Amino acid sequence: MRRLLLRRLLLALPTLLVAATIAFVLAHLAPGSPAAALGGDFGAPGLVEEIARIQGLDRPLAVIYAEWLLRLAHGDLGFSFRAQAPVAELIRDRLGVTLVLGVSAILLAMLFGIVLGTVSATRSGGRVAVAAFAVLQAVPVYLIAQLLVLVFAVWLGLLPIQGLEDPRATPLGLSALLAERARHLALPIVALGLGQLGFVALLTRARLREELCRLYVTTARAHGAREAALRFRHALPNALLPLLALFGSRVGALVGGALVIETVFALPGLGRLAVTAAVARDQPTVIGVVLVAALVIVLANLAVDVLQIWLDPRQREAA
Amino acid sequence: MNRVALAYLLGLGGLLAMMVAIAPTGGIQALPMSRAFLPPGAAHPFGTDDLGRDMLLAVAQGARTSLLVGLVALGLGGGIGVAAGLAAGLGPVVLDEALMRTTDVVASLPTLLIAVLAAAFFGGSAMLVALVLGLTRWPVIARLVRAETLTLRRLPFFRAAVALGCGPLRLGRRHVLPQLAAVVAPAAGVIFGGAILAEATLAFLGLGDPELTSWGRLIAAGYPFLDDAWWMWAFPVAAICLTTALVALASDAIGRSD
Repeated sequence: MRRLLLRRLLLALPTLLVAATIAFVLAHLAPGSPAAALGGDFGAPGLVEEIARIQGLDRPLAVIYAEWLLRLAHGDLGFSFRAQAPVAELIRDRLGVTLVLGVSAILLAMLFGIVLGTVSATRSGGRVAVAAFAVLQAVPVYLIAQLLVLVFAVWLGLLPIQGLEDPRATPLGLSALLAERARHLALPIVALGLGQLGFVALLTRARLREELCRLYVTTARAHGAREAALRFRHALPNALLPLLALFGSRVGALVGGALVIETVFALPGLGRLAVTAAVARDQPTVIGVVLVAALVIVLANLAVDVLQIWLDPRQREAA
Repeated sequence: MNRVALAYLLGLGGLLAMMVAIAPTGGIQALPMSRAFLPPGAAHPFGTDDLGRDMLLAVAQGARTSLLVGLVALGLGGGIGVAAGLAAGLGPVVLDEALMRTTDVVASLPTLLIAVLAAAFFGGSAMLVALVLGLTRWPVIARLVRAETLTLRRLPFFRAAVALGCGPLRLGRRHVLPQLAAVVAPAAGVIFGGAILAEATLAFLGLGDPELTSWGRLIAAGYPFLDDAWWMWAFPVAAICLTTALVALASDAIGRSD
């Protein structure tokens, strides 16, 4: 187990390096520069060159890359041109929102997706359910989000439309603040979760139908096990293990979905940071966000692997 | 390919051919402003948009871009994935290890984030999205192809071919490739639909191709009128749903029995 963990963590390093290098190359090959963005449209002649010189942007790309790599090795993500603050600080301030959003959404999607997929895994029925899951999977997540806003915020007036808290509210105590945050995050989480629900339900259904053909299911049925117990207690645990790995591969899609959801609900998360930084050519911030996103994906996959081994007695003993 | 899959694909093809046939090649002519926001009716089956353009023609025109994005991403991702999977499954162990570690790295990249950044940096272009997605989403296919190749390698027919002196190229082309359809089809459908959706997402973020009509751009354009003109977003959404559903059904049918 420890060896496996070590090996996976070692393999994570090249992944992070590749992700960050792609972001670096994209950011530096892009037309426009942070110096031009900082200089503005009406800067004095020579201002842009002056900024580029001060920020060290006029040096060859290879030199900038080497220096960036050296700093990264020391855990320094660099300094944001746009926000005039360390990138690590910017990311730390926004990571929480994105993590809460993403983790809650995936838990929600897995809970309901697995239950719905299991219930709909009948031979004849479930065709309507499959169509519904497929449609849910094919609708852009921002549209789901906005429809939810329309119903629950505009028509029913139950939940706030956007942001993390009401700017007009008086300062709140801790518990009231948490409740307020939860109210503001409810719609984003449900929207993001719904976007993943179809995928989870479809996969669960497909796996469970395979599992229900197995002989032990027939035996259990012959012993008089009720249909619900058959599905949830006998077949589901066996079907779930291979599904876990597939859910791990969905984390990347979740990162992309969070980016969109943060835009719709104007949440101060990592996705918003990446988009605004990209438009402002704020290279260090962009690279930092991509690095953190890759790290999250790697760690999530690692967690899924460990969970899988821990849940499966055969693999647990082998490890 | 079985008959059910063929029927789905033919249905999809017919639908799309019809759309391409009725779509005007240039821009869609704007009608007088009095004709803006018309709900679906006899004259305009899908209604008209905020500028009085016919939504049926717009959706038909959007089909071209959206499909192209899906097909290019699928072609790239499928091509790289199958090639890498075959090489890993048939080649020497060193190559296998190298390719699979590369696959692990690429599979951990935040694809949509990179696509968004590329579009923000280089300006929105439908081809750029397709390119980024094709170049980053192939690991799924590579893994499936490698696993299937390793399974086939143990079968008698494969050993017989090796004994007859087939080289890896011939083995791959004649003995493995023809059997891959069932394994690759479902993942290929996911890449295809995913690319169309990713293009729609970029359009929503304002990073779409300003020159082209696509389903994603139409949805993004109809988005401010969510409450007032449902036909502006509902028909492009229906088009995406119908296409991805048909592709999913067809690839599922290919995967089920061959």
